[in-house]
Amino acid sequence: MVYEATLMVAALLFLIGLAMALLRREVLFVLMGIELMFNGAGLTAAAAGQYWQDSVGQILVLFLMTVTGAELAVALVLVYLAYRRLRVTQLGDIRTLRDAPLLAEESGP
Amino acid sequence: VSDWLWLVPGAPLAGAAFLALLGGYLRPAALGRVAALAILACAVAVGALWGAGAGAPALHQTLYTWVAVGDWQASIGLRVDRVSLVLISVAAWVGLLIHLFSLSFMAQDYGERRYYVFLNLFVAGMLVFVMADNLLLLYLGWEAMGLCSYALISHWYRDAHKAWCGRKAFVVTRIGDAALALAIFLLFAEYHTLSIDALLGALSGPDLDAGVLTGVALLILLGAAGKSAQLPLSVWLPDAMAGPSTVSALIHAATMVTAGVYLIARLHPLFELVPGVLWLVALVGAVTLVYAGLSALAQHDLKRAIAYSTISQIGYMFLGLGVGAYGLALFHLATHACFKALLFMSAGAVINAYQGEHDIRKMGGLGGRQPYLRLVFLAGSLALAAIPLVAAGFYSKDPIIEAAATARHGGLLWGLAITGAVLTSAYAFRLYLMVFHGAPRGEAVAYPMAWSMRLPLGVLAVASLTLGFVQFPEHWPLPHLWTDWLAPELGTPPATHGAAAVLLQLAGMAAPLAGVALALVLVRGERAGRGVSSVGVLASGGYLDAMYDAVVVRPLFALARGLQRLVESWSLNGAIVGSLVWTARGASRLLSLTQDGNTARYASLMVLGLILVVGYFLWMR
Repeated sequence: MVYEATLMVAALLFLIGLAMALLRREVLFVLMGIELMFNGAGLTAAAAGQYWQDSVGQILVLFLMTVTGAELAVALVLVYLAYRRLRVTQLGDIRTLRDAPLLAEESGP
Repeated sequence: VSDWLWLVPGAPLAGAAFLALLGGYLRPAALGRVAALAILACAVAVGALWGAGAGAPALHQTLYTWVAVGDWQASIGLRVDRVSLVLISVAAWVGLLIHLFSLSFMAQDYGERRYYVFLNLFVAGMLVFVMADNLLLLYLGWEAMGLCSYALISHWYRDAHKAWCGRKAFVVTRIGDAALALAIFLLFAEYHTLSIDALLGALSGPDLDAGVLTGVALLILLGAAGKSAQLPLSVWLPDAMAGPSTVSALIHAATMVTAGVYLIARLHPLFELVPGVLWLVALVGAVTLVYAGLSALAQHDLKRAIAYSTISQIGYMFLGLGVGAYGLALFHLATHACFKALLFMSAGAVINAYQGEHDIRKMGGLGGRQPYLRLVFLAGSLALAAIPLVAAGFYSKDPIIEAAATARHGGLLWGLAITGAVLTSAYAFRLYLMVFHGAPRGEAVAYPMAWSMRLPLGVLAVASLTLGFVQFPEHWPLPHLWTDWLAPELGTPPATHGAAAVLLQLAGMAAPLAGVALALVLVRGERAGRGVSSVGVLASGGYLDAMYDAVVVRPLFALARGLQRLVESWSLNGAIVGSLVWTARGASRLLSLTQDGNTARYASLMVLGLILVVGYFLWMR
């Protein structure tokens, strides 16, 4: 069996995806990185199904594809809305979700 | 009937619970009827106790084991013997009459539900206190009475002064309560039991520690003085008159303030082992009765005068206890409950007739407009003044004065007591003459009295005049039912013999008449505008309030303010709370550094956290 090679490829895909998600600035590329990580996970599931001689792994991949598709639809809408409302395409420019301790202290007693 | 003893305190308790929980669904007029019905059930149960052996042999009922620790336990146990039967009869029957009077007296008021809940709860507390067979349950009843007394004095709490009076009563009696609690702790530490029967049994045994017994007796005396408003803790009772007159009648005349007398009578074997303390009881009573008599003489507030007279009459009971005449003290307690409840309730009606005016200098001539009220007030005054032969007060008070002469330093005690008798008669008739006779000095309105007010007053007036006929003075060839009946439990009171007895009795008869003459003189002066009420030392009750204010209250307040500034502001708020706030704020600032809105950093931290968690579960375990 060659599932070691499959697992290696899967891990590689996952790591490349992770690196993309963490390092790229463009929101769309981050999304692509996340999709790559999904693919790595799916490949691992297929390899595991092969290892245990079980069809569950392949079924899981099919589910994963469906869910990923749905997730991608939502994510793309979010990217679109971020562009339309905030006029940003760079991840670093979206900083609305942050703690503002100075503001909180000033409004306090 | 032992199985039904619970009904006696249970009926008012159930009434209080019902009114507290479901009273909101009733019309205000129905609240009083429910409360009176609960007391009626209780009064009937007490009547059944008289029918069934009248407390001899003593009846017991244990309802519930309250506390059980190792081999020691305290139960909710009730006990009725002759002594407690006297007290529960007073509480239930006088209580019933006062509830009846309240029906129309309190009809125009606010807070009826609160009033009746606490009135019922008070009666339940008094009955628990009297019927308790152990000191813990007795203390529960004692405290329940204190709570209800506080709540009812401040019944009209929207008047800040009345709320303050309630707090004063509560705080001053608390000193006595604390002393009683300490006495109970001491007794428990010494004898390892709280059951009254077992304690009194242990007292007749050998090897008693005189020091401990003296301490216990002194503490109980202080507790009794607090509850019964004797010197030095008498200052709360005159201010307790801020409550409705019915409350003064029930709590501050008939029942709660006599709790101290009952407590000492109940524990009299303990006091007999320490004769010095017992004599101190007599001295406290004798001094108090003269002090309160003098103060009562100079009051111009109708209710305050009667309040001082209550202090004075309880002084007679303490004197009776102190000279060993326990039965006579209880007799005076019973007659006093009747005539003092009568006086307070009719004083309430008088005050209503004058539209809330308490000052007797602005009354006068009410007798023509309210003949019935005048008659019952006269009956009460006759009994209070102990006018010879006709009034119950004579038969209950004069034997105490006589018995005082037999005690150690009897001359001193007798002298104080006979002075008090003159004063009693003087202030009683001063009030009566100022209110009901002479030219009107104030505007009285028509105050129609309903039957539910007339009936209790009438019953109490008859009792004030005739209750004495069960117990004639010693050596008279007439029955001595009361002391004979109580003798198995309290012994026979000391008596004088021969020519001395005749002289003492004649003096005892002359004193009230001298008092009436004094009253006539005083009233003439008062009407002319130069009355004793302008004598500051008497009118203020010997400046006792001002003294306590200067010695205790102000220093304590100053101490509290100092502590607030030094300890609370600087140490607690400044150092401890401040450092806690500083730490929390600093930690929050540190944590909030990570929350800077940088999405990539959030994701990195998530990955890092995930690696740590997964790594921990894969390799570290």
